[in-house]
Amino acid sequence: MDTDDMLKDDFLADLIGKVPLESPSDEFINNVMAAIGPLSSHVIEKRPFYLMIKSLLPYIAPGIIIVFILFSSDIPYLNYISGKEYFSATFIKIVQPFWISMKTLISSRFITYSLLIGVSAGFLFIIDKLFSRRFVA
Amino acid sequence: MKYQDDNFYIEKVLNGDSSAYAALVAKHKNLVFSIALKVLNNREDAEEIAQDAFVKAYHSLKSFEKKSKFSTWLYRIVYNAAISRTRKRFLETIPMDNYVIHNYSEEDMRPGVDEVDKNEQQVLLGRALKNLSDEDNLLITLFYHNNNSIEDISGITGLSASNVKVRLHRIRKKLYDDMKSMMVVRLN
Repeated sequence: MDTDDMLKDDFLADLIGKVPLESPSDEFINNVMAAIGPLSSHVIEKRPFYLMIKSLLPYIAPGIIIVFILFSSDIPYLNYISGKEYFSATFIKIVQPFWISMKTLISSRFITYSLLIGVSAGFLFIIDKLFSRRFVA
Repeated sequence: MKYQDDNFYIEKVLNGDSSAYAALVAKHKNLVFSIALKVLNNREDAEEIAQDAFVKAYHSLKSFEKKSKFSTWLYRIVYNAAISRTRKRFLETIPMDNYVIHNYSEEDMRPGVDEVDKNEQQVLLGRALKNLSDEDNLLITLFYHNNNSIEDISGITGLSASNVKVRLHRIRKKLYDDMKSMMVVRLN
């Protein structure tokens, strides 16, 4: 005999069935019906694109930085990454003026310190975004 | 009053007839209220929680996937709401290492109890039920009053099916033992 059936004690079920259940106040049904409005239809709200991008930014930004570091480094082991040569030949050329201007900038101690603080704060911000998800819909 | 199957009213509500929900409320209000009352032990709080549970169930009706019975789903809502209100664990899992469910038949467990008349049995049972804890009372109500299966009760309370079985078995035995001891006291 299954335990489920074994527990189905007809004698006890019959006796317990006669014990009335507790009932709420007489106004209970009216209170519930007054509290419910018409059943709202499901509205599927499309998430705005800028919010999708915003939520992905903490992942995209470090990803771009890591790809850039890997592709622009001269570690021999990384030469095997496919597309690295093309990257060096085209992209590095494009960002060359940027690097030259950066070189001029970081030659000043004041700007170097400011950049260091800014970059560190940026990293802390990204880490904070990564580990504590706060979405405002 | 004879009620239709829950799905009949659910379909009506989903088709825009919100007044059909009143029948569902009327059908389940006593058990929903009893569940809340057994957890909270306060009529005002139980009524408020039961009402909130019905309102919540109504607004979630579209997401009800009918994987379980409506009643099981509803009782789980009210049970969880009541538990949240008390902010404590209600039904603790009991250790089962040394517990064996003996395959006693009804007759093995209740010798003598069925010899007294029905009214006397009802009085004895009423007293025995009062000796049970609120937790045990809830389980026995769910099992014998509403014919919920072990799996349904497990779904409502979050206890494992085997734990529900052991508890019910123990409650059943306690009820018979209490009724028998009350009979002995009366005879003496």
